[in-house]
Amino acid sequence: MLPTGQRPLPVLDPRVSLDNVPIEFDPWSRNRAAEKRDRRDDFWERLGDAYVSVLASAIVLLYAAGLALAFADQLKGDLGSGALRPGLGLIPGGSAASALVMLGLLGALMLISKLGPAAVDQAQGFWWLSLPVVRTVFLARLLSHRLVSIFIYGACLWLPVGYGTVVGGLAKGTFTGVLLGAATLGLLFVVLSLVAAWTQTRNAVHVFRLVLDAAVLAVLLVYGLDMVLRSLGAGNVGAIWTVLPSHLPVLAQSGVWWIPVLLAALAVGGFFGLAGQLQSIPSKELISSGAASAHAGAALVLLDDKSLESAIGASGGRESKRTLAKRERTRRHGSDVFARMLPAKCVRGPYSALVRAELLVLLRTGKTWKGLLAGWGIPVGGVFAVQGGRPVVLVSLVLVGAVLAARAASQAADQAAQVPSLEAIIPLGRSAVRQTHALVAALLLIPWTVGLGAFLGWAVEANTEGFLVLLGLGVLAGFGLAAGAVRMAFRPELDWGSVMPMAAMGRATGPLIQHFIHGYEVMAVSVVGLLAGLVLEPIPPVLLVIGAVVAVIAWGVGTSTSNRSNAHRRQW
Amino acid sequence: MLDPGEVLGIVGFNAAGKSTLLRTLVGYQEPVSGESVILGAFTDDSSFIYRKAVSVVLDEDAFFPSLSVEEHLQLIAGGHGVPDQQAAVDHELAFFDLENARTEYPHRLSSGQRRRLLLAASLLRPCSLLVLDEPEQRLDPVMRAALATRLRGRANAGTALLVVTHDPVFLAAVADSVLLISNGRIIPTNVADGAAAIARA
Repeated sequence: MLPTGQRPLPVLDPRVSLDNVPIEFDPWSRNRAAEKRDRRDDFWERLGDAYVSVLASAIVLLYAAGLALAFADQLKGDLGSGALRPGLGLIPGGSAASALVMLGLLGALMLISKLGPAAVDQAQGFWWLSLPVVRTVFLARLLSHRLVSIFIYGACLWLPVGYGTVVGGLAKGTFTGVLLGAATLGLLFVVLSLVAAWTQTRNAVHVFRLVLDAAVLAVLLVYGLDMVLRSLGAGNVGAIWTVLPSHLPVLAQSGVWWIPVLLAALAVGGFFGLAGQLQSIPSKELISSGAASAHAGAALVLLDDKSLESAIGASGGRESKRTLAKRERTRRHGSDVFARMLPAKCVRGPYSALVRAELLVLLRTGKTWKGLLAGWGIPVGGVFAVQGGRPVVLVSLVLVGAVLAARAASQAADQAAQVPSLEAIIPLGRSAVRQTHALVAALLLIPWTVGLGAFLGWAVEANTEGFLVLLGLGVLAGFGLAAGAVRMAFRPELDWGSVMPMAAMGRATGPLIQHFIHGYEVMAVSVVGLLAGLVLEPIPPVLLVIGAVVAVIAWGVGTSTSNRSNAHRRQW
Repeated sequence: MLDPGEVLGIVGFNAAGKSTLLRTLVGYQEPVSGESVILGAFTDDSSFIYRKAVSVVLDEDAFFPSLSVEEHLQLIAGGHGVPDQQAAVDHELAFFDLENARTEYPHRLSSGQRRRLLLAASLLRPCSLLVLDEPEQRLDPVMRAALATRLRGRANAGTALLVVTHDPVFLAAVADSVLLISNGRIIPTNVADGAAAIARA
């Protein structure tokens, strides 16, 4: 589009022309020569890394397949012994699974669009993008590498699911079918990634994300509609679940071989169609996607799920006009609506200052409300599915929902944990501060858990006494979940210096597991009372005593500031 | 409006928005309102002319771990079609006192050497507009003075320069005119007042 205005163009070096013709130069090849030399230098090291990666992936896959198989076995063995009141298990398991996989697919697509898929790392951004060369060559190469990785991730995700469902007798298929299903999911990821890359070339990533948000909402609405129609006996919209892309791996697994072939043709055609357009992706889009990818990649290498979460959350693209307008309004008024709801003059001391600050954080963080809603949606959606009537499914869904809600309610504690100096300026002991974090999270979580307890009490047709016990267990679970979420937020960094020597002696698994479940274990234990209420008939009041003891212990562990773990670096 | 051969200094307190202004001008950031025009057209770095004409060094520090100092500069020289590439690379290595680090990888360089490598890359290539964010950062006084002289020479040869700086001496040695950013306002001023404003900051 440049040039050329009416003004003369200044040219510093008359030997180089200022025209719109690219320089014949391939930075990729130039770098490759140096990289090859480096590779030769550490060939054995790289071979060792590859061996460890393959072995680790195989172990993870085997574990996942074992879990999927156990889960499928539970479902199979439990048929006919639903935990729910009659008339609730309305939506066929296959349809619910299709909806769930579709939501997962949309989530994965959102993730892919936040990390690219077309992206450059920081060095490529500075050294390559400034060159007046045709970018297509190196951008297409970078994209193709990413698509291969995306295919592998997608395929590996399906392997344990497909294997579990076939061996458990829940779905038709053979082992070859499972491989076809895996290839289909991988290729589906690739095709959708190409769509995401196409939106990058059109500078329409924000529109694409809005469409994804709308698609998530549509899936939830259709699921709700299906639920209502079936409960009224007015038909259903079940056919939709069989035409969603999420159903394709199931079809391929049952032997419809042409689905992966068609997807592969689409992927190859789409890639070559798109490659020529990669040149038009703005540098800032390539660089910001690359920065998010680098952050997420580093978090993965360090096995830091919290950092991974923030890497994905932080990559939001450009600010919307609404955000800018809101910021301008806040600047004009000197405060936003939440700050006016909780005026600073109400603060009487360090405790109230801390509580006000945390409530402001929670009110301003959209993730809080989305997490609480999603945490509710999962068990509620499951209750209306046929397979959701099985205790093993219900228990899993309640657990997942509770963890989501607890993580959402601990946003303020998360932020405080990231900036320890903020806490240091408050004249309160560390333990008191930790308890205040948990208390604020509990304020949000207790209504959530009581609501969930009431819903589950209704769903399992508890008698009055059992219903009241479930409400009580809800209150207690709220305290425990809050404490677990705070423990999770303040999880110390993994001490690689301690873990690596243990790994050499084959003793690293314990500390690593200890690191990963830090906080989750308290959350899980806290909802045990509620979960027991789901499967015991009648619900014994003694569960309240057990729940109270668990809540007290969870509170103590969750808000404790001591660190006795072998896996963690001693901090502060 | 910045004319060929003109050097515009941008000064202001921390967080005044100097770097944001540069990032927006060169298209790294979306403008809240208005458009940036370089060489008579809207900023668009997908154009080859734009990339040939505009050289930008912001506050970044990114290198390929497998490329040596010299190879980084060869990449830029090759990618911009610089005539007599090796001579140009050697000249920059000598000017920025990087000859002894010629074969070193970036992770073995000091912070100041890395800064010099980035500046060498920006000066090695031909350009019509040079955009620099605090180029004096991490440079010793001798190198600062040499850089100021070099930039002035580039301006005299026709390159327009946009320079954010916190160094009044550097500003005085390089700039023809100054924009002072204060309280969200952009105030055109002369070099002496700009340097005084930095000294007060």
